[in-house]
Amino acid sequence: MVWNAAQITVAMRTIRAETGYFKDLGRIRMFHYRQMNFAAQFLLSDKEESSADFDALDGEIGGLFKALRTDAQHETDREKLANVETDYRRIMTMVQTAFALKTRGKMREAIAVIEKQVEPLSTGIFQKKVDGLMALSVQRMEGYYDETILHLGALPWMGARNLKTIEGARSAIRYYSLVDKVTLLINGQVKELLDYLAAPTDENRRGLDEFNVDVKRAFAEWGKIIQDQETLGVPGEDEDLKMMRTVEHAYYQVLESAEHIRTLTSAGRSRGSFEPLESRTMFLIDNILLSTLDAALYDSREEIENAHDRLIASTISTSATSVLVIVVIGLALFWVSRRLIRELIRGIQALKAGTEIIGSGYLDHRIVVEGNDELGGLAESFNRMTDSLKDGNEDLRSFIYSLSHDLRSPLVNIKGFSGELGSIVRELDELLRRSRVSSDEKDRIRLQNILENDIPATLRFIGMSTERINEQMNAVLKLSLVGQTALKPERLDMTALFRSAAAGFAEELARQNATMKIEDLPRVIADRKDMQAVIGHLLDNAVKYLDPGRPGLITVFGKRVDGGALIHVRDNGRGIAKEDLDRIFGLFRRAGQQDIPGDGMGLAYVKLLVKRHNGRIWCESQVGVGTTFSVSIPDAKFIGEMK
Amino acid sequence: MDNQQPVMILLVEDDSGHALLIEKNLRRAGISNKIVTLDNGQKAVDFLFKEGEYSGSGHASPPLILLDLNLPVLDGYQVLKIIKSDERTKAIPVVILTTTDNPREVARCYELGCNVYITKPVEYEKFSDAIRKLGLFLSIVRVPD
Repeated sequence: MVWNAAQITVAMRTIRAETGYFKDLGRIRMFHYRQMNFAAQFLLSDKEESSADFDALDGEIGGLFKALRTDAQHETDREKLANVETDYRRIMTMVQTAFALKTRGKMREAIAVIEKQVEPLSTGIFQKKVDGLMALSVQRMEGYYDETILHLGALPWMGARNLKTIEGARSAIRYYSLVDKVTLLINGQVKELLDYLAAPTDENRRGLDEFNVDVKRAFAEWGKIIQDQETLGVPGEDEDLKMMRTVEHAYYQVLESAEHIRTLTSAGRSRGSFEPLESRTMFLIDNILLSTLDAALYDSREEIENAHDRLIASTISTSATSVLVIVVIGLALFWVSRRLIRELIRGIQALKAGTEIIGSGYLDHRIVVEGNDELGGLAESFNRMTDSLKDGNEDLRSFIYSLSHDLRSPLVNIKGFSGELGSIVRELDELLRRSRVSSDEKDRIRLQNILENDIPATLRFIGMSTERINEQMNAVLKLSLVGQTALKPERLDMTALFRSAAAGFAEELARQNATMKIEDLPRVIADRKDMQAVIGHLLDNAVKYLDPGRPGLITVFGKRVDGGALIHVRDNGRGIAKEDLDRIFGLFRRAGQQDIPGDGMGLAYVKLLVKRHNGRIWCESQVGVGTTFSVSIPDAKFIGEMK
Repeated sequence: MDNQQPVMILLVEDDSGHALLIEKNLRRAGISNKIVTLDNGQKAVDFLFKEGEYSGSGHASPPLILLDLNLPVLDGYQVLKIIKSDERTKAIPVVILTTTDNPREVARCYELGCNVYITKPVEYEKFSDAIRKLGLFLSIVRVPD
């Protein structure tokens, strides 16, 4: 695209040079015409200023030729120019000869030179050659414009505006050519007119009429071109129209006057009588017709330049803009990507450092990654993972803590009573020894007591405590196994699961005069066995802790929440004290009256199962009113076995 | 050893095995006072303030309380707090006798106002030793009227 813009700029510059060339050729032509008029005037009317004007124009034309020689872009042009200049010099020489003859009073010879030598060279050869050069130049210009339009096609954002500008420039060339043509025609017509006025023969009249047809057509074309230019948005079309009308008007006035003069002539009136008319007509011709045409031609030449400049400006600015835009975008991309890469590197380093810290045991460290969304998200998930790791660790720690304490209790007993056993045995030994020697009644009673009470009691305590340890170990083992077997999530109908679990409590409920109501529950994707265990424990608790003081009512209700299920098990039982609400989820912890059998670890187990599903379990309660256990389980992200 | 008055020692302990061991060792240490054993914190508080099931009871205030921390219904910390914040009972010496030896817990108990903290060791010897020492200590202390 940038190449296209560059090509357009080059083409524009070529067109500009070409236009200059064309204009200068046109000027030469026009000046030469005027020159010839001045020459004729000088010869016919003796006006000194005509001669001066003639010489001035010669100077101009000379300068133009010089400029053309340097500006000509093509070798062929230069050759042709040299040729044309030679012709021109010949004409000048001839005219000077005519002038010299005239000064010497040899009018007829002078006029003969003009008519027989200058005329054919000037109109027949010189003008035609210059026309030819101009036509070639216009052709080249059109070619360059076509090329430009082609390149413009590759620059979509140039669009209609620039295309219009080119069409405008092209149209300016055409306008110029037309005005030029009109000027040529009218100058020719003026000549015919002068001839006709000098000798109003029918033949001359015919010549005039023929020319008139062409002139009329030319005016029509002129009018049309002005209209076209208006459509193309070329400025100054009012001016052009005015000029055209002026020229038209002046032309027809001239024709009228000429006709009038002819009438007067054929009426036999003397030349002197209509001299004012004649001079007015000449005035019309020179100062209005010809000079307006001149102005029109000058303006149209300007318009070509302006149209050019507009086009060059727009293409240059667009190509400059496009280059600028591309460079800016490139820089921006470079800068942005550099920043992104730096951010990425920083983020990765933060992640790496963070994971190392956390990996070495500092579970409180959190990774912060700024700026980058993807890395930020990664850091977030990592932090969440650390959170749940820390959480899991906490649970484990508190489990172990509880365990160690709860194990100590039975161990105290075992040790203590084993020690007691030792003492008893020592006492027994003593008594037995003494009984061999005497048989103290007190001793005998004591002996009996030891054998019947102390020893059995001691052994019982030891046995109970060992059993207690065993229970705890089993419970802990069960807990530790949570997470060992793979989760097998499937779509579960929670209503069905609760109902089938509830069936198992039917007898107990009837005995306690209690009812269980299970409403429509949401479905969830989770492990069946785990959910059955959770359900079993929750219902078990609800049933176990009913208040005998009032008819028990257990309600199970729930709903879908986004991405999972939320289920509540509400009972109107004894309730749990506020300070115990957290404790009940702890290992071996129970709250309230310890009159109901239970290992105190059901809720810890349930909590682990729920956590395995990334869910939550919590409890709300009021002593004497009731308790509600709430469980939220998000849908598992897969169905079937997780490898 | 002062046994002019039938002063009783209150033992708040829910494990019957522990309670028996403590009692035996107190006896071996020479303490012959009556030992009242209660197995939950709420009962202990009711007993001390003569409320609940003990309202209207005529017993005297015990000169010593042996208190376990892991009690059902009302745990040892709460009992300790209640005892030490009530005018009627805050002068009674309280000996915490419990399985946990976590320094944080120990500090907490002292903050709440306990007088002595004894960790139930697993070693029998140490246990009986500690109790015996307690017994000697008690024997030195003049039990008020």
